[in-house]
Amino acid sequence: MLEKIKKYRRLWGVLIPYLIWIGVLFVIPHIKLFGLSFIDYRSDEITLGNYSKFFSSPLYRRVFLRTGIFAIATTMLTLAISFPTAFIITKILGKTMKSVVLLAVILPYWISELIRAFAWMVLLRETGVVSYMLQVAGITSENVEFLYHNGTIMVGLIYTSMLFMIIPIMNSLDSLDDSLIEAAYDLGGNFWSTMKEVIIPHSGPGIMVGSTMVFMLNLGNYVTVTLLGGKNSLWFTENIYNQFIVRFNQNQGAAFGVILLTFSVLLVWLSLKVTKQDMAGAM
Amino acid sequence: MTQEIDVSVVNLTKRWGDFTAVNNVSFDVPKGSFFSVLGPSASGKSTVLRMIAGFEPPTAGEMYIGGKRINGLPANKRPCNLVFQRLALFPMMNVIDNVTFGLRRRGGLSKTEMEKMANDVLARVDLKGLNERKINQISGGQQQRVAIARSLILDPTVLLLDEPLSALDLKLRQEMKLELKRLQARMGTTFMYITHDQTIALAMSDTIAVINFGKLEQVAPPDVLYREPATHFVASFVGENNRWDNGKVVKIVNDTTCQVDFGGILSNARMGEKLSPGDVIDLFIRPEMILLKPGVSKPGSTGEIKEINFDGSHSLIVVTLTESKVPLEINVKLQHTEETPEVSVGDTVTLSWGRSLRPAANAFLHIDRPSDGEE
Amino acid sequence: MFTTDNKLKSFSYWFYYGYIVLILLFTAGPLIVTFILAFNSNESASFPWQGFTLDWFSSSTPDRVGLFDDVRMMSAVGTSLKVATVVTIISILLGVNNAFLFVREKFVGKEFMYMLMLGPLVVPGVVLGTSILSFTHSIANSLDSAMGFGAGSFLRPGFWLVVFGQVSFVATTTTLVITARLRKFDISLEEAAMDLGTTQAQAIRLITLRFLMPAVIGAAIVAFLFSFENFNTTYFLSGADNSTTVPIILYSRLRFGITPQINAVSVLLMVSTGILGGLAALFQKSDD
Repeated sequence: MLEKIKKYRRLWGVLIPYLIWIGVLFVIPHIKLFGLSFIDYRSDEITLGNYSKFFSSPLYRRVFLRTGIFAIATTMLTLAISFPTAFIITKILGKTMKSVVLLAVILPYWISELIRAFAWMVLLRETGVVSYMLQVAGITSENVEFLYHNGTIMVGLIYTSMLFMIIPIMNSLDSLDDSLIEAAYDLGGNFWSTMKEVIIPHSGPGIMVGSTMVFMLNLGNYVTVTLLGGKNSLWFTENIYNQFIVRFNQNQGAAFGVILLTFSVLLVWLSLKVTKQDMAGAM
Repeated sequence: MTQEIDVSVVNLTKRWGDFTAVNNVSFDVPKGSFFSVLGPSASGKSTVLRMIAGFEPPTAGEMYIGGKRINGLPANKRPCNLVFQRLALFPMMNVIDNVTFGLRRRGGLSKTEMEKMANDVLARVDLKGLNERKINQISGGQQQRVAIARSLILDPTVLLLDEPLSALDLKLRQEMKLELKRLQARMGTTFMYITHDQTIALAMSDTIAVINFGKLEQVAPPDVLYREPATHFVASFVGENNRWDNGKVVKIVNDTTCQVDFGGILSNARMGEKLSPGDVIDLFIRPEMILLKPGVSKPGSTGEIKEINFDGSHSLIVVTLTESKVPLEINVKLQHTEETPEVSVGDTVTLSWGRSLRPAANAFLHIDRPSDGEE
Repeated sequence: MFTTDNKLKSFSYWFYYGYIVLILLFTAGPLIVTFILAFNSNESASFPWQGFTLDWFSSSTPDRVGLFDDVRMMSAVGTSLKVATVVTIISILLGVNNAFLFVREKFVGKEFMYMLMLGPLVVPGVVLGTSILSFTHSIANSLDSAMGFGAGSFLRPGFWLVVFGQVSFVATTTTLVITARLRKFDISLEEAAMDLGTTQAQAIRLITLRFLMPAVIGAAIVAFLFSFENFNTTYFLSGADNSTTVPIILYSRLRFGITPQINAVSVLLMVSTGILGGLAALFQKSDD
């Protein structure tokens, strides 16, 4: 009996700090956010107005759609760039080169996202380094503005989240025994068939984890998008910010937040479900 | 002469819900002896040890060390120390800090005194000059000794060892086995050793307690355990044995011996438990106790050699008995000496056993196979 | 590995190394340029090179204010350091606590609780920031009306709100790092200590916590960096000057234009994060 009391006292001793943290700083605020999204900001009455406003306004819808499509497209591009990188690091490079390259890829990610976005501004703005280089090379005679384009936003997003794609893929490629690749060759496979039938299926889980992380990061990005895309980057997180800070309409902002969260959770859930079925089918 | 008892366990029981891990176990460990608890995995032997060490409270029963009841005492207050299965040396400390850890907890000693004691005990386990090494910088055998030294320095009434040799490779295990035995004899500390490895238990122990399914099967010195198993389980678990199932007791020869019948082949056997004519029994025959002669001769049973497995100092020969009405096979361990007859597969041979004072065969009431040990 | 033909092999090697060089150029290039331009006398933070200068770090002429002479920037650095220190301490305590919860305890709903623990890291920083803001806002309002104006002021945007907001997701990181380490801990080490005479509390302090130390230090460095560089969540929760961290002030200045002083700030951050990151990697290596 005494044992039992003692045991429970220990459990509660560590459970309570956890519950306070996760409850006060995560769960309750999100419940509150959810609740706020159903309240009218003038009359304090319960309403679906904040949501219907989203669905009826072509502007919000368009921004949302744009954000979603961009996030997905950027994720795919990131994957296309990161997979060969991860492959070369894990399977081609020698031990020393591997750690050198890995360090060189990881180190920039320790630096603030803001600084990394700033570095691109230094390069791409109208009076920036790239524009200057082009003029020195004689390709153009005027300043060229590379900022505030859709392409710039994509470059920035790839830049900020690439590592989160490379690392999971590297982890899954690391677990692929080299002898499997050699066996595929031995059995008559070539580069592409080995890639397609052995290497890519094996790294499937890593690709999935990486893509999910990168997608979430893209969707929720604010700094890189607003700095490189400027005022008219039309990213959905900007709408949330505007409602809260500029218009003081936290109910509308809450509804946008809930929509963003629901959408991302839904997509992640869906992708996990789809790939799990695929994996089961492959076995 | 009455022996002093260092550890005494009375009706010890441990239950987890419906599962009884240790069932009413009692035994005494004489002072200064090497006492082993032998059993297959999950037999409850480790649970016995953990209850004595103070890491599990017993459901029922009493435990005494040096005559004092230790039930309810926390692990750090018990006059026993444990050498863990995976040694549990502190990886963040060097050898000397590991060894003096317990002394530092006790306090009251100066640093030089503690170091002197540590060097003494390390010398006794033959480990010198490694004091400043980290644990991962010394070999498995050396780690073993550090773990023992770390416990011995506290001068425990009894040293508990939870299969510490099982982590070592075979060769090192053989070496450490002998060394551990010598160390115990030199120190005079009571050792209580938990193991599933009967060769270790037989080689090292003064007394062995065999435990199976939480129940104590037999407590005896190794030679008694081997020659006169008290239960069906001990006979099948300890040592190599031929096992013939479903024989019949024909007659009782004397207090300890009976005659049994397997398809017409008659054999004398020691009665492992009380038997009477007509009982259905299982017979265990030690392969090395069987006398093998080429050709047909009397007394004995004739058979034909089916297989010969050469193993250096001896051969294991599989013989099919031809006189039996039921198919009977038996393994014979043939020691290679100058007088060992040359035999080959297909030869006719005569086997005999049970004629010396040492019992070669033991009979127990028949039990279905699944309750067998790991052998 | 992919071809045995030497010619082909050398070709594919060129391709592999070329690709890696391009990737490295992509990841490191912009930062290197930014670094170099912090020492260029050119006021437009661009090329051409007009000579080496340290003006952007230290100078106080009217048109050239060095980073160390910029009172507001230096006060933001101070604020960031303060915030990061407090956030790190709280997050480490929570991380150790949570590690013991998830490794040592058994309770109903443990898996769900573990998933929930990951939440703050998964939810976009903007949503996390706004939800904490609206929650604390309503609490502060009711505190004000119940206990008089100003009672809830510590829950208004400002130092403590920034700390709370950052702890929400930084503690997830520290929990993950420390939990991974505690899972590797052999519980019999703790039993061995108790067997050798310690109480359980002493065993945890002398053995378990010492075993966790490399992970705790590594996690502390990561927590400090996370806090120092955070923008998304902090942006919503910072108020007056006492909570303007370096990323906040940088962001507001970047919207007005680029000066080489920002390059200088970048250099400072790159060097210090480089050192801290290297330390963290070192501690993680000693984990094994």
